[in-house]
Amino acid sequence: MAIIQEISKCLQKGKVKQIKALVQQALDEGEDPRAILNEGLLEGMSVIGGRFKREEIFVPDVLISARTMSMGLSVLEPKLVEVGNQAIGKIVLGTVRGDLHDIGKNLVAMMFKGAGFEVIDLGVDVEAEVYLEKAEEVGADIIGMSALLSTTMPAMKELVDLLEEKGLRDKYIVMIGGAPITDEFAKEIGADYYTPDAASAAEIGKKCVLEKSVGYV
Amino acid sequence: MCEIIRYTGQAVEISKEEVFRDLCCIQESAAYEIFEQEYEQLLELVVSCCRPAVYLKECRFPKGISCSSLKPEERILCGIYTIGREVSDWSTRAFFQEDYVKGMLLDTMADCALFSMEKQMEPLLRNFCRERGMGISERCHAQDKDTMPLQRFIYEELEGRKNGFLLTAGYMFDPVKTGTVIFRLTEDPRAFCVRHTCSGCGNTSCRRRKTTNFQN
Repeated sequence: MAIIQEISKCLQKGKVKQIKALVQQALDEGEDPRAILNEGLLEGMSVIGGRFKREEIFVPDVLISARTMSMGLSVLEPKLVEVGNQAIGKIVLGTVRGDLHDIGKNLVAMMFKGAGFEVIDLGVDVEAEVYLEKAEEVGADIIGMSALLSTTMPAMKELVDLLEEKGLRDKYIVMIGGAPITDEFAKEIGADYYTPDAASAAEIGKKCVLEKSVGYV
Repeated sequence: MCEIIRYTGQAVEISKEEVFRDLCCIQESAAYEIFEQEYEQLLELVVSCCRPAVYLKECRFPKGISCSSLKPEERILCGIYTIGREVSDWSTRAFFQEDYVKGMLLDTMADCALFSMEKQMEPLLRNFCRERGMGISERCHAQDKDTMPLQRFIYEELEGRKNGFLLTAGYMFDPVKTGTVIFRLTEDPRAFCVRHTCSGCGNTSCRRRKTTNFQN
């Protein structure tokens, strides 16, 4: 158990060089790969996300921890496959039609991965139909849309309307974000959540998916 | 009809100080050393991957759009400047490969390179004015609601598509690291007011903004 805490601390400190060896050591010591993931790597990212939200650390620190997590996962993933570990949920995300900004969306993808999600990143300039098609194909829990321009915000409503039209609105959690987006706008277009930063997005996404899965039991 | 003048091969500059400030990467942070190493490794390659180009055209300001105090038919010089798409594409690939540090650094360095082109444009603008015996009395700023029509106007005047640009449905330029400018021309050849002034710009959330004032 101590080594799992050590993994979490190592990730929080962004020690890229040590993480692989630590994860390997934990596996060699017979730790459950799921515990290494959940209580080590994901727990570490959760702490980092919280510190970022409280503005105790900045984006560079989060990026380094995320990169550290990615390194750790590269050792862990084959073992997770062996034990049939499932991601906690799936999110299809992208930047909306007409908008080519991708940094914000990339940070959201990074934080969702860090929260244990399978992330299907559709890139930029994504049409409403493409989000829906991919969400249906992969069985997504969440559809995430990003927009950095006031001119591209209306494209977010197009997806919500499309979901309504197809009778699929309740099937997906719709999350939106980006510099010009507000909570009021989210309500106005019928999206489920607006979050002001990538860490909050992943936190809320995780909470929603867990609540949804409990609801189904 | 005035012709479009194209300049290429300007030397872009990337300031480490600016990049780290934009990233909020402070020396006290544990991340600083890693970012610094990565930055040094990337610098030369990023500079070599930039494809700077500037397009300028003298024309008349159109009716129906607001931009500073410009009146329709006033003589203006509009421009597009870009560093191309290579560094942005590289950044996107880095994020997809989960190399977040590199992805973020590349994007921020690309921004810095793009903004440095404003300085690189100055000799071109001086040259343009000298050849025509004119001056520049103002760098103009679009009013909020007119930013997008103005983007389209510049795109069309400078034959954006023909010159390798695209304008998206959201009025965004592709390549992403592209900027546009409009200058008011004057008969006074001594005038040369080409620098951006934050107080005249409506983008109040810009992370490079140097003032809280906004004089509309």
